[in-house]
Amino acid sequence: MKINGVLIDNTFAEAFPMKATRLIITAMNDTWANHAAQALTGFATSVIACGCEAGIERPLTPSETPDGRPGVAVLLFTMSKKELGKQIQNRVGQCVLTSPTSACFAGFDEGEPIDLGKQLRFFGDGYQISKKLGTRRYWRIPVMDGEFLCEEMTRFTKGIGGGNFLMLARDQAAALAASERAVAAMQKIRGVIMPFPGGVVRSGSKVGSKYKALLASTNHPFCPTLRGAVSSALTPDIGAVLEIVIDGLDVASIEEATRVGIRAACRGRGHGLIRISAGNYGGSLGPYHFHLRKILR
Amino acid sequence: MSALIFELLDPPGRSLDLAGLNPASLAGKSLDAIRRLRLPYGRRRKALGDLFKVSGDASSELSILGVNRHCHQIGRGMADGILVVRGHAGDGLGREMSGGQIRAKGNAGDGVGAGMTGGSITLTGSVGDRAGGLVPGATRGMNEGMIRIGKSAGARTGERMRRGFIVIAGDAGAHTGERMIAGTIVVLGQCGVHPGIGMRRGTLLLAKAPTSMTPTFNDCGEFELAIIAILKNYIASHDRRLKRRLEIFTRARRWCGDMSYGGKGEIFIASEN
Repeated sequence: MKINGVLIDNTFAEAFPMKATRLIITAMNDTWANHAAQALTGFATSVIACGCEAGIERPLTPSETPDGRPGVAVLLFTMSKKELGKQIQNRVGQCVLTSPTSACFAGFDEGEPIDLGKQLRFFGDGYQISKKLGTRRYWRIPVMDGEFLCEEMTRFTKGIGGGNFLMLARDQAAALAASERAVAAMQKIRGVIMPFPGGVVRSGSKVGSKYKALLASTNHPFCPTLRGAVSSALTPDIGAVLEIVIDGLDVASIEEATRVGIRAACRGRGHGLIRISAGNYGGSLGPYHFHLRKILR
Repeated sequence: MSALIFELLDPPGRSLDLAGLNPASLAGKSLDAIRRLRLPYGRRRKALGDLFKVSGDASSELSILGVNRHCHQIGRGMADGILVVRGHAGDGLGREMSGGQIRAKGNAGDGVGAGMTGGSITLTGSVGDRAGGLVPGATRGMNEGMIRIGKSAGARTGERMRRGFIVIAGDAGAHTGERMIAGTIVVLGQCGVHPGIGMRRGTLLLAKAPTSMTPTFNDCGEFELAIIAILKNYIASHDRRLKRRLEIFTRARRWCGDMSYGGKGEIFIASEN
């Protein structure tokens, strides 16, 4: 299978189940909503060492937010409920509560409940105020610029982490340009995030290492500088490989993001993109298999 | 299935207690059985069929038409369904109700929604004193639910209110939110003297400064707080017609009090635009 001259490998991306939640962060304007969201989703590229994978899902207009101010929807993914609770607490407490004019709300109406502002309220040192409206309880924590408003609980659902595809290109510039085209198109899809810097990862990993302490190590068959030293997955015309990792709320949204991303990467003339592949572990680790050719058919 | 309809044959001249009549209590009863129900009327009891023209079927909706100020305790203890009331109801409308909806077209007397623990009451007219307040012998007033008053409310609305939401589209009488424990009261007209007196927690949202501010409240300054937007959206989600009138609450002056009772309550007064 080829798209605009780019070979699509007959392979699949292997993904695994995660716990996912959506938070809505608002502020006086877009700039400060973004500052809070960027801080909350910082250092959240991989559960291997960050505790969670997080990213900005999309900006929200005032009509889409609970308090009628500009906002940002962010998604957080973890491997367990316990870790999700810890990550929400730490990240909202250190990155959103601290950000001027911010407020934080639950982004899901359905799913299992989990604390959002329930513990953060104690920062109010007894001056915090509860307001229950219908089934939702809000906490108002006095801070130096007014109040930090935070919903007491949010909800989490089942999510999927580890959707991915690899862009094998002539050189670094071509691989990066293809990645940028792909990420720009994928950011329009709801229910997914690309948690790595700019949505792109250069250090794709394989499971395990020659060093016992490491759970993962460099994906050496896809490293172009090792082509002559190992059993390489790269042909001589490939000079650089970049990967886009996708976490999503369901199979359909990851498939859609994969489809849109690959088509955008393959767009144009003289793009230098040679092949599209995907990372998997032989199908033994994750129950979700995203077959590239099936998705692009 | 059509609604069950009770239409008063003649306006009662003495106290008529309608406490037992709600959709759940009448479910499964035949029209004949309903007509035979005996209601307290003055110092005696009278068959429902002698007072009302009964039509329709027993369902989740009940309409009581043509009520007057002698018709008390309409919807008392109601837990489910819809109760439609036409006319000027007496005291205790929706008293101690725990669920369902009362939709009243007209005025009502004292104690509307007193001691209620759930559900909603919507009135197009005015109400008497102590809406959402206490029932005799209780230590707490309204404890959940929503009361929306289309015109004005009398004195002591939300007295000892514990939780819930009261919206008064018109004026409110003296001592609104007196000894309030928590909850929210919104007054879109003029509020009478000393709102929130004895208040422990809770929020009063006033469109205008009260006739006389409670002396035991302290001025905290003027703010544009996200919680005000949340309250506005919450009210507008129940009544879209109020959306434009709520626009006045962009900035609001916050008064905290009652300082004699811990000072954790608050009164927001919309800033003049």
